[in-house]
Amino acid sequence: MTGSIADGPADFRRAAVAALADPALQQALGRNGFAQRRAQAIAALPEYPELRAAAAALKDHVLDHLDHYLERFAAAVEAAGGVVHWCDDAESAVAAVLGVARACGARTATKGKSMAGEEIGLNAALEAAGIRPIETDLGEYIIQLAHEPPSHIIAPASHKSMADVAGLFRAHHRDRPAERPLDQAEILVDEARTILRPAYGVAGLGITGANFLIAESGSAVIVTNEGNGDLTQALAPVHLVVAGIEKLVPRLEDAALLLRLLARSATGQDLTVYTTVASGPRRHADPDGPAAFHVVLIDNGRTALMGDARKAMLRCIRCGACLNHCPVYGQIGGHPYGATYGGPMGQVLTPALAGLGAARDLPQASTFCGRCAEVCPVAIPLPDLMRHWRDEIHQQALDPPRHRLALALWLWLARRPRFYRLAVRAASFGLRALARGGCLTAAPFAGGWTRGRVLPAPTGPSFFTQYRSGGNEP
Amino acid sequence: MSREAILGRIRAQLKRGPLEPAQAAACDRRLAAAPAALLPRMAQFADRQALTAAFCQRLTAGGAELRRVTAWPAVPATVAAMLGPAGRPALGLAPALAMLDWAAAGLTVVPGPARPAQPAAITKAVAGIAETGSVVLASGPETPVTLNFLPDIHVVCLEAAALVASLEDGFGAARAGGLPRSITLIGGPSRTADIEQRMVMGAHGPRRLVVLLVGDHGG
Ligand code: SF4
Repeated sequence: MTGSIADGPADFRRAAVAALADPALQQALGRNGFAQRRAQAIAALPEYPELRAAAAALKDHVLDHLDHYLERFAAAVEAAGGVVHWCDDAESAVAAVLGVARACGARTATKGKSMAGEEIGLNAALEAAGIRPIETDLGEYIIQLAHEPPSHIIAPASHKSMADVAGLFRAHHRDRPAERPLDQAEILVDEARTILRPAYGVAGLGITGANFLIAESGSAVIVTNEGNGDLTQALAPVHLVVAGIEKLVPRLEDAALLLRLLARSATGQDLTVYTTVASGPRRHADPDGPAAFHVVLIDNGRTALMGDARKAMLRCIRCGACLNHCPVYGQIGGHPYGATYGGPMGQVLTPALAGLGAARDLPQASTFCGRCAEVCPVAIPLPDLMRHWRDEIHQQALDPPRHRLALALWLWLARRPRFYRLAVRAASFGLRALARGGCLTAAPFAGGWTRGRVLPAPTGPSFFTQYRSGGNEP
Repeated sequence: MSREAILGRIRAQLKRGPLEPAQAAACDRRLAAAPAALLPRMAQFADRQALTAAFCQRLTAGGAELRRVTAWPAVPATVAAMLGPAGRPALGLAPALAMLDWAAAGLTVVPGPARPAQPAAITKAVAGIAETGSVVLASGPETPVTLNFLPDIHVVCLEAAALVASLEDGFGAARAGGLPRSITLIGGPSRTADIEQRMVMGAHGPRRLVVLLVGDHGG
């Protein structure tokens, strides 16, 4: 199996604890310069608040009329000579890609970075079908060699050190001198470039994702800094786009609005180095470009979000800012989330894609500090949406019995103010008795919490007591 | 069929059937004409001179090299000077530029799509965007796309009069004669920061982007 994982988090808690104790990972997580670069880029764009509001409104408009825009998009793709494959789930999407690959006789498929491709486990499926997938984005190439899933939606190999990459290249690039120096990023990039170059020309199929799909023209827009997505789609005889149905915008000008926000929020650039709008296959007199153009449109749980406030999640333009600003992601990285999408956006998206039962820990893994919603360029209220999932988890009785018991107990108390006050006083007394120097390093029922933190002991009478002693009536 | 299933799920979740004719018509009007753009100040310029200056500054900040050339006949010699020894092997050339006298400048050119060992390619942009400092390349019979990505050095010729203010204007210029199969905005040489977030130039695409701004419109 290559880098892909079947979406469905296994054991978030255990993986998170392991990640906290992994020194190499902690060092890698310390290298995150994205937040600072984003802050500079946003500061240089005084119109950011208006653009952000307009972007959110644009995406909401599309989602409210998504059926219509999808039909118009499909008609435009077909008018340009392309083919649209509508796919309910990961299996049907994989089947559609394999169908195209077999029909064009592809033995290898070059791939631009595609999170939708990761989501449907495309690499594993291609390999199983005897078609060799070659990731061309450097980060994706590195984790493909390592047989690992991405740990970040825009920097998939950010958990790897230079030494890790050098080790992988030594192990996999066997035709190179064993003792060559590989101790600089430039050398590693150059080696990857030379190894991957020939692949573009021999691949029978070039697969990319899409940052935006344009309804008026049936186009797929991709942005990259490496140019790998462009080589992938320009040199392969068949270009196949894998994209979620929520990528749609009405016109190219609408993509311009989102482009102003995407790179700034992601890497702090005003615009990525390459932005390409691809519309259909090569035309009659074109000297190059793909002879066929396919778009695999994926639902895979997205429509399940459209019935309530969680619809806002489908505004997401996959910039990664919420990951870069999340204190939880910043401590554990992307892998413990156990799915293609980690961090706050994954905590809302994955339960829809993988099922709430499998992902029930994810909406809980938040301090609700709100930074994710604050930096989101399309103003998705991520903590609110996690709260929606928490409600649903409780309603479906998917939360652990201990949680349910504790909540039931609290509810009982909360409805009986007298007991509640008594219990607060008792707890306050108990915690003060256990405290050393005003702090607790261990507390009953909260061992997991105090293992990594210090709990300040209550310092005086409760708020309620103070309120009443101020002469107020409850 | 999945198509009907997906559309059906969307409608069920939105608690409605297919759009009413009036709503559908409103969406189609939205598709037919762009809404008024929300242009940031960095996409607005007092005059041509300010626009040109912003384009040049932002393009070079993105790592591209820039040369101003007064007129088209001077382009081949300027390219030869900029390429130096790298210009000695046969160069890829967009047929759109085949009428220039490359031989006189000592350059051998092969009009058509990129070939594997070409060290450099010379192409023609349809527009330059001052907001972002990018050149806009459109595919067509005279402008193969592979030239933009395969060679190590990408030389882009751009008429100064083709500079525009915003992303929207850039897309507009590219599709003025109908939407080309591919439109690419390029803002500098290829790069990656995938190894320890260190910026390295020359990831997969060209290691050098050289832009020749032709004509002296707006100073
Ligand atoms: S949820 Fe918002 S911040 Fe997070 S990746 Fe999506 S668009 Fe970016």
